[in-house]
Amino acid sequence: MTKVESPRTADPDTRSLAEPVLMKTSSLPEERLEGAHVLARPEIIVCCGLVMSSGLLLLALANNNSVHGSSGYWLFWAGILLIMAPAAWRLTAAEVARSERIVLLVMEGGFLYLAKVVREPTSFTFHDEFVHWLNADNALRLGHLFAFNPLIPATARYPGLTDVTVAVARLTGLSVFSSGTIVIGVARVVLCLALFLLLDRLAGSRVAGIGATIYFANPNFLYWSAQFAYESFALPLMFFALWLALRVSADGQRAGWRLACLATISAVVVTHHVASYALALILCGWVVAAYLRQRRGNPCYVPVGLAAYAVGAAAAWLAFVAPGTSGYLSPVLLRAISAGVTLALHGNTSRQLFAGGGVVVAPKWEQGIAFAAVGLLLVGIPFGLLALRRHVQAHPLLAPLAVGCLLYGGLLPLRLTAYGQETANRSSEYVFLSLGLIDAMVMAWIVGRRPTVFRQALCAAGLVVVLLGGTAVSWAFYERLQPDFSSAGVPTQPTPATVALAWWMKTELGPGHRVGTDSVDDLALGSYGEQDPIVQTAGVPGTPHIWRVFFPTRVNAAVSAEIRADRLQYLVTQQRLTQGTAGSGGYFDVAEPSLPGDRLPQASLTKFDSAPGFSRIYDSGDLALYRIGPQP
Amino acid sequence: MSAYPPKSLRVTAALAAICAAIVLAPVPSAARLPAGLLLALVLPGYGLVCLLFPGRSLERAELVACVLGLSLVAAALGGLLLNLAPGHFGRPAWTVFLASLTLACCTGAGLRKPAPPREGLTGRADELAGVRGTLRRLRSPRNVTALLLSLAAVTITSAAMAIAVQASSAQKPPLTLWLKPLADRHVQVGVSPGVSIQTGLVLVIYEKRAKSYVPLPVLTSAHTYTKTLTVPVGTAEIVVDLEQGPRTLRHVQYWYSTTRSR
Repeated sequence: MTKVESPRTADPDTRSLAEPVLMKTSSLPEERLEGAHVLARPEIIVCCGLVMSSGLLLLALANNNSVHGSSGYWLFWAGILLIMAPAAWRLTAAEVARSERIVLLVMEGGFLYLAKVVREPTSFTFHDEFVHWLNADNALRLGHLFAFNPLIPATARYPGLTDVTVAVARLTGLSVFSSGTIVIGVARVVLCLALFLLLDRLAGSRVAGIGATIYFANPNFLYWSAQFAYESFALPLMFFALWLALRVSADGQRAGWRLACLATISAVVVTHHVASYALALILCGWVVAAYLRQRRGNPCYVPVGLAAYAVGAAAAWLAFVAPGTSGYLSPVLLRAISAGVTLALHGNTSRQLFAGGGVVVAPKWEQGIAFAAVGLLLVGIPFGLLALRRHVQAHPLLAPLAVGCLLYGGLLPLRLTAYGQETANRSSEYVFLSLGLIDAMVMAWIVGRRPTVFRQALCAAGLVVVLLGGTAVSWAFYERLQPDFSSAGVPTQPTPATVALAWWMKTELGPGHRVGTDSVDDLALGSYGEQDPIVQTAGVPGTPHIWRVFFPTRVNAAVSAEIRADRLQYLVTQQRLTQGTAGSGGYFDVAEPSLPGDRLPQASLTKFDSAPGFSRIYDSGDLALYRIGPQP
Repeated sequence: MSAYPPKSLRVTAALAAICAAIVLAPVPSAARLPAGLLLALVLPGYGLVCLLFPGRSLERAELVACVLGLSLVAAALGGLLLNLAPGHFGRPAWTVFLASLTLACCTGAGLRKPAPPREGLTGRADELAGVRGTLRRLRSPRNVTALLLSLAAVTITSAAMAIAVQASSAQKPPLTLWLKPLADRHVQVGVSPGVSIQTGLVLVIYEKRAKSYVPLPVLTSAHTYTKTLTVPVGTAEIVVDLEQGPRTLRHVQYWYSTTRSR
């Protein structure tokens, strides 16, 4: 381990673009705490908190409006702006105390988490939340892990989030919903702190503050990474493990850091597949870069042990505990690769940007700001990479991060394809770590040593554009707020009627019945109702095609054959499906064929009323439950 | 020179024992909630920090990250250990595991030879003095203003949450009619009124060409109406409609066969 250069040898504000990335090998705070000489200003922090809480209030009002049938669109954007702008302004400033940057960042991350909570503060509503609710409920009811999950079987083999949620639920007596909300909230705080500390070690506190804010601009941060799901829990632990690995490299003689890092890597491995693979890849990239550096005669720490452990643990978990993971992930990846190849060779785009169900839905200004955000992020990449390349003392960890940055640009075209879009979108939680660092270095350089109001405003405005653009790309605008269930339309989440049916089935009919239903209502029936909905699940051989039961307008031989093949006991029909076009997941499964006019005919659902052998035993208006019984 | 083991270790160990006792005792949930949260999300991490990084203080942000992060790690991995003991995934097992982990870490940290404090860093025992100093500084007029503004921010956040909860409670299930087959030629008909008070509802029951009317009482959201019917022998269909004036609101129907086993 060699001390290469102390950051204090130069005034942090007089560095060139390349200089922030110094290899920091000492853990002494006076060498490391850029901005420590500036006193934090609590009155500014509190004022920012006041503005952010006002933003949260606007978001709550926006949701309230939406639930009652009026528009909350502009209130939503005003709320988001009030949460994001104060931190963007302060974090781009030069003379801000390090502690102030940390507090502002945690506040921004925390309020963005609360933005998800105020959307629905009493129950889970997102797809994966029902899946993980079932995992936690199974552990509480059955007293053990790894119980079968019919919604996404692979999730049951990664019990990290389930463990912590069950621990909180058991110790406090809270429900799974409350416990899960607290656990993900705590994980969000860990994410903000670990991200800042990680980037701070690599590039100093100003770049860390801006870089973490750019990370918050990833399209999944607002809702996806805030939902009760294993990835939302694994990402903070992944960043925490990377920061601990950096501490090992800086303070390697102490076993404590090493043990903490190994334990955290283990926790990531048992929590989420992709996060554990990403962590192993980054550590391997670090090893390769460090070896290359050593060969050039620059001795440095090579995290061989940590990388080997991460690879070994992830591989062992995949082989012995979660072998179904490869079958779960590979179809998605193969489809994305195929779509990418088709796009590259033939230029075929199978998806229209900002469109839902074949109709352009996003307002023009949202499209504009999204393009502007992507443009700003892309423009910064070459400058940041150039700076890295010119600096011989760049930390070896920056090499895999730089590759991640290039990955962002490489995956962007996949958004133009129907099958590659998911991969491009989901990768953003990982590649924005690199993107945040590289673009933050450029922004910090632009602000410079003696920032004028103009320069700072320019950077803060750029940061806000990137943040708003990320939000615009994230979810279709009609899904950002809690829907009004009294108005017509294809549901994008289980309705209160479905939840009521799920509880009714559980209490009155008992658990474990095989139910055929659509791709949204199966979430509530499979989780709260403890039923066994027949869903098309990637990676499960012999997956049924439930659309064959629902698409025909008469109960014919094909319908009866599919019912027999799937051993269905009940059918649930949702009349709202006939009120619009299907979302990206289809009406019943992603593999279903398209319908004439892209609409499900009314007769497809009402055909069971007149067919013998189908007893309509539950009716709540839009929703009906049919028992498939003995023929009369 | 501060005493060793530092006060914070003894405080942490005592807190772990107290929290474990509260969690296991039949106390109101208001007392169990903070004790349980401390025991699950804070104390194991703090114990591990004391054990793994002895005799010196982490910077404040690092300390918070380590305490929360290592607590999450401990619970995530601890669940796998508890899972190996069948039937021991309950509250006592979790309480004993997390409290024992904290106590073991504190004991281990107390037994270790303290590392000399590094220049520029204070011992963990001095943190309490630092906290007292911070509290003293908070009394200055400038900070009182900041505190009042913080209070306003907390109030606004609470108001936002209250509005969100109220909006969420507006989403209630609708009026529901159901028919559940029971044993011995019986079926149960039920009506759940949903969000609003329902008046003037009538059940119309069709059984083998017979038609009967059952007027329902006023149903509030807490009231579910049920009625058990006996079906005639044979194979037939029973149909129940829920009507309000001339409108049929809900419709259920059940094919039954009392000559064959169901």
